[in-house]
Amino acid sequence: MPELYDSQPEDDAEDTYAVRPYAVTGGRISAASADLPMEALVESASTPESLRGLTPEKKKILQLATGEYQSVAELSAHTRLPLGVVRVLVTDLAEEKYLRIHTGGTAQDASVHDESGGLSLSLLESVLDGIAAL
Amino acid sequence: MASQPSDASVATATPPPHIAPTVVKIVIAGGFAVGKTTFIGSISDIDPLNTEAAMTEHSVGIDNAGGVTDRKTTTTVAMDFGRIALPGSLWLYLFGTPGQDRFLFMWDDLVRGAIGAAVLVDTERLDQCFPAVDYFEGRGIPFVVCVNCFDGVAKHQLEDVREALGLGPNVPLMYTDAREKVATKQALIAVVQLAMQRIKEK
Repeated sequence: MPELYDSQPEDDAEDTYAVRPYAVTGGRISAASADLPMEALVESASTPESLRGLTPEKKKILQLATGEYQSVAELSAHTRLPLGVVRVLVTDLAEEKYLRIHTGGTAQDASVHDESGGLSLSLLESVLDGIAAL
Repeated sequence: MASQPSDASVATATPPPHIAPTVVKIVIAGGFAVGKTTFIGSISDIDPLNTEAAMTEHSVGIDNAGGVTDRKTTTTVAMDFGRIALPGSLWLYLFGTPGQDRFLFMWDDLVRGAIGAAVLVDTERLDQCFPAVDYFEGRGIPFVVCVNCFDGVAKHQLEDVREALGLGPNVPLMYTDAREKVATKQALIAVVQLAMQRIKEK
């Protein structure tokens, strides 16, 4: 078992989390969550009543992603949870159908990438026009 | 074959609900305190946010009493980022790289799917941007180099900077002012143009 997932209780004065970050995820890092782009957008698909029984961290994520899209990075910033932890929680919540993940435009979106993995010219043209108009 | 809608103007005027924005990103790199967060903040719709990636390091060393210590330490790596909404339901994220070189391995995650990068340079501390330049060159990621003019003063000629950094003639090099939206906008435009040029040359 790698040290990273050691769940032994430890007295860590610098730990600002009520629960150690990797305890929040049950000590797991799934392959799917590692691939989740940090700019992927998350949208809650749940009602407040359906949140009963979820951990406070998962509730917080769903509350933040209600009514507006939030990237994985933004969820990490707002919850003060490390990126890797948020990735696991978001992946879990998506599997449990509490939220939807949108990866349009990211490395996971084949429709805007050419054969070699680069972004499509038409998308870049839209970005260029958009920045120029700022 | 897709069937043609009977009335094209109506079909395009009413997009289906629940279309999430398309997200793209540009990486802002450079050494510690070179102005990455200022650069992002000058053009971001939101105040720059900060996300952390925590790592547990297993460190073995010699303690003061001469004994070998074996313990874990948690290191946090902070990244600042901002967001700009562009027309056509496009969201552009700007991600600042963690300042220290020893976190270069984290950049693979950061640059995955990115349009390209802008490397900010402080001419007083040129060496600080070497890791970023090496990284983007080595991976073939489109990047531009922006000499940040602190206090609006350009202290060095661009061609001197190009030579000192060993940049090829094809790497766009420009002055910028991380505090000014007009300047950061030009830097971002240069990144996108370079990425487009790369595609056209293929």
